Amino acid sequence: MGEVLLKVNNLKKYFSITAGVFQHTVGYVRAVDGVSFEINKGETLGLVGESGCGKTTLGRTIIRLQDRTSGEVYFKDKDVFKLKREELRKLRPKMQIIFQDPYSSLNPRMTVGEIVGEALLEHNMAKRNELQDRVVKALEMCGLSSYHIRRYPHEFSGGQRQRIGIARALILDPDFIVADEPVSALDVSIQAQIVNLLMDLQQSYGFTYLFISHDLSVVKHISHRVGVMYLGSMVEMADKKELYENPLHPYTKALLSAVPIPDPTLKRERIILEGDIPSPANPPSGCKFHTRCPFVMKKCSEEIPEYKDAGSGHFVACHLL
Amino acid sequence: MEAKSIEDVRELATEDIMSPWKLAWRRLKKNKLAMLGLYILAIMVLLSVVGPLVSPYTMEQMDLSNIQSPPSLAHPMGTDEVGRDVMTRLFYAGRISLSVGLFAVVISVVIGSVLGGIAGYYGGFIDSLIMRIVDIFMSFPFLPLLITIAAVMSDWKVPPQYRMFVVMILIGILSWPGLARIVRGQILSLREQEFMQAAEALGIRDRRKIFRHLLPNTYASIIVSATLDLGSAILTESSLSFLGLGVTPPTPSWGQMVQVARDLYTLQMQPWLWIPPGICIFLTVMAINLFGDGLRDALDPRLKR
Amino acid sequence: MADDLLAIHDLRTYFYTEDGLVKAVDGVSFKIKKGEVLGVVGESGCGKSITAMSILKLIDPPGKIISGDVIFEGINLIELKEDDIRKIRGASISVIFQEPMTSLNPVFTIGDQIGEAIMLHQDLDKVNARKKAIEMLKTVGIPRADEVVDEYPHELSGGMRQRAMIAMAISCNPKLLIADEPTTALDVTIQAQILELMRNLKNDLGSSVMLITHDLGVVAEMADYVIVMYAGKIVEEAEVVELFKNAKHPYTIGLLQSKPVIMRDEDRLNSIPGQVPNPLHMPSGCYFHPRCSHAMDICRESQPELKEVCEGHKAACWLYEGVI
Ligand SMILES: Nc1ncnc2c1ncn2[C@@H]1O[C@H](COP(=O)(O)OP(=O)(O)OP(=O)(O)O)[C@@H](O)[C@H]1O
Ligand SMILES: Nc1ncnc2c1ncn2[C@@H]1O[C@H](COP(=O)(O)OP(=O)(O)O)[C@@H](O)[C@H]1O
Ligand code: SF4
Ligand code: SF4
Ligand SMILES: [Mg+2]
Ligand SMILES: [Mg+2]
Repeated sequence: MGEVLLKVNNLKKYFSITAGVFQHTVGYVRAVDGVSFEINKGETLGLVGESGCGKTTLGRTIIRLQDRTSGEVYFKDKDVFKLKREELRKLRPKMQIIFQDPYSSLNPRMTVGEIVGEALLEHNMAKRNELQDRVVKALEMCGLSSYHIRRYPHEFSGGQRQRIGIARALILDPDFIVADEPVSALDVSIQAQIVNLLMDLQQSYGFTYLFISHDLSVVKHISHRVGVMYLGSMVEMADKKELYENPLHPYTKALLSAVPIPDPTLKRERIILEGDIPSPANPPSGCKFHTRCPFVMKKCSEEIPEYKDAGSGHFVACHLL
Repeated sequence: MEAKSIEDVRELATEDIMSPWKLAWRRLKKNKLAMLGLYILAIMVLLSVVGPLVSPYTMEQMDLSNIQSPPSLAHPMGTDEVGRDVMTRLFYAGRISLSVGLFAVVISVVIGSVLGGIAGYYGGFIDSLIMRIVDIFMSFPFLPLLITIAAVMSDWKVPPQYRMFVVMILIGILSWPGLARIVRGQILSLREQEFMQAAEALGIRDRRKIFRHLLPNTYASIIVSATLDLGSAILTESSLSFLGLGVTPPTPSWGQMVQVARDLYTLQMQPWLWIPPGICIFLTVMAINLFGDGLRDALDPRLKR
Repeated sequence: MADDLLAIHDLRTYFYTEDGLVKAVDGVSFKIKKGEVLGVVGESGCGKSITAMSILKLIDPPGKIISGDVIFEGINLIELKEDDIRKIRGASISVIFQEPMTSLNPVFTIGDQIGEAIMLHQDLDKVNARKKAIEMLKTVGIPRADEVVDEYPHELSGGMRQRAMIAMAISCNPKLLIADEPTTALDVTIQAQILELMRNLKNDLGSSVMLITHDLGVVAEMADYVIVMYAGKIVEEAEVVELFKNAKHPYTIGLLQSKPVIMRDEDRLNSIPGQVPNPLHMPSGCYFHPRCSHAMDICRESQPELKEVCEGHKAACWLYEGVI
């Protein structure tokens, strides 16, 4: 295995639920509830899970776009949450993020050139006279053209906007990029363009990605390793091939079997889960999945299953193992 | 790398660059009512600025041999009780009414957007403090206060040309809270937008975040609300002057000119004295509101193509 | 034909927008057989929803149905008056929308809304309508149906709301159920539940379903016959197995190749270059030609017609001109 770039240790992020005139706290949404993992240099770690399971929160917390509740995040052995404001700001270019919504993630009152180039100036990474060339180069790398530099975001389609967002991140030559559902808002035919672009860029520049998505097929395609989240916890993580061919956690199994396959001749065994996803404000005791698990045992509602290595880096949290 | 679609590039290259402002102007131009408002407004401004310069009379020039005469060729809107040309006074009054409105709005925009912006950006205690001040201002009894101040000014014999400034400042000070609320709301929702998260992730400094990212996105709503405020400021000035609390003679303003209609004889027998300023107030405020509503639609922050 | 439930012929629905004319649906013809699931696929904006809405004449200005016939059980719905078509909506033809929250009224309970739909079209009083509503909620697998009937839409999760919508839609035993992206807003495991439910209901009720989606996987699993739309037109149609095994139109082929499949390993996705055309500035000839790798001169000049390219399989593409 390669060098560890990012190490997350028992990270928790709770949002307080407030009520009443005085906004006092009446409870917590446990968006991320004790997650640990590592990402190696140059790899893509895929993160899947259903909506509200904490993928976005995890992605934003590890690059400290919001504060944590507890736990640590080490980026190149630096504790991200111990950094001072200005130190963090200086580190920012190295950790970038691509957002899900290609509409709200670009400032409507700025030109594409300004959007892509402003951070270079803020960090004195380019002189004013070379800025334009750098921006054009970044745009071209993302399949846009120099014509686009003076235009405004509203003149672009969703896929093109997503390319602008990618150009904005890659111009800073980051080591680590959080891609938060970068293709979910796009049409199928455009999704493939963006996935290919991200993979090409990784090949050329050795980027490390945390690729968040609820689409298991896309994650399988782009990732080297994949983690599965349920209600704020990581329930399973393994190499891609291992996870998709030999899923160990009952939730992963159900998730994989629920993906519709574009092949009408293929008939599969399907696990249909009962019930809905419980609220993260009030997660079930013990194994959080026990309310829907087809293999639930007595122990499951009482004891939290340990998240441990089931052999050769295949981590899973389930009492069955 | 992906072959980019040559077609799109070509299409974009031949089209004009559409900045958000240009786009808004294009939409505005299509709105007939708003454009009508704009034209009326432009005519009003033009008449007020140019009118007095081309008029053969001056504002104070009296012609005692020719008082209270109905409209004639020499005096298209007649003369008043001391023989001054009503039309010339109407032009001057327009200058006063429009500039009182304009300055009041400038004052209100400056106070409102600065305080609203601070409240929205910093939040927490500062926000609560500013918003409580807003609440206090909004529950102020507007009219009694003005009447009191007017009375005090009369007592102190404040000369008419200064009273005009006091009126401007008062209207401005009393109308900023609405604007502050709007700006604060805008900033609050902008702060949650992903592009602000992106700015943070890029390591953009606070100063640039405020001045380059946040503020330009509030201009549209500030302009709209300032425009609509301009209408009500002109109306307020008119009402105050009509009540004798605002601009006082000999300085004319539209509201103050309508004042003559307070006596029944003038009301019935000398309509040329009060109908033209009345119409001016009505047309101007109406035009501003039409234009403002059109602006609101044209500047719709959800920039669709 | 006797087993056709619905036949649409040359339907055109245009929008007269401020910026110009948008031909949202431009000459679409198809049939739905009794008991069949018709899958309609295409990317966003290609006219799927507007086609569905046009069937029930639910088009608001600036939109207008310009021409076309919608023959449902021998009646042309396009020629019906508003009062008459209202008797068909929700009774013989009902609709499930993508976003259940916007199609359920937030101020009425679930029971009220289902009950009202039932009373409108069936001769039942309030008490019996409520009983029927509870029964319908049970049919769609809602637990605690007798409590849920008195809850408001916001108290339910997305999946439950979609079940409630389905309960309302099937409460009058519709002959045709139009489902517009019924699972797009839902999670995978919930989507699996809803699809399973729809499959079972279809088998029990024997209704026909028009299933609109952009997810090829959902189509492959649910549909009997598939229509592929692009820029307001049908570009290809065939039985589901034929379409997936033997796609003809370059757009369909591109679409199938651009989606990674969980059971396969592909090195690189085969993406379609460019983007969906701007509806205000449609390209000349074949609307797909700027993105098509097979484009020929004729493609830029004139528009191919939807023709049979092999038995029971139609495509609109010049590549197949003169094949049959
Ligand atoms: N109210 C409207 N006014 C103007 N144009 C409209 C309106 N509704 C739809 N259109 C246009 O009609 C076309 C087809 O829209 P439709 O909603 O059917 O697409 P769709 O395939 O269902 O897409 P999605 O998957 O995004 O729902 C689009 O170009 C759309 O912009
Ligand atoms: N700012 C916030 N305040 C309160 N709750 C939040 C906030 N952001 C996220 N959450 C909650 O945290 C949970 C995880 O959210 P998120 O990470 O956005 O999920 P995902 O990205 O997987 O859809 C959800 O229940 C969500 O409602
Ligand atoms: S711990 Fe128990 S409930 Fe949880 S996944 Fe394993 S078997 Fe299921
Ligand atoms: S008609 Fe021509 S451009 Fe259109 S899909 Fe066929 S080959 Fe491609
Ligand atoms: Mg998310
Ligand atoms: Mg739709």
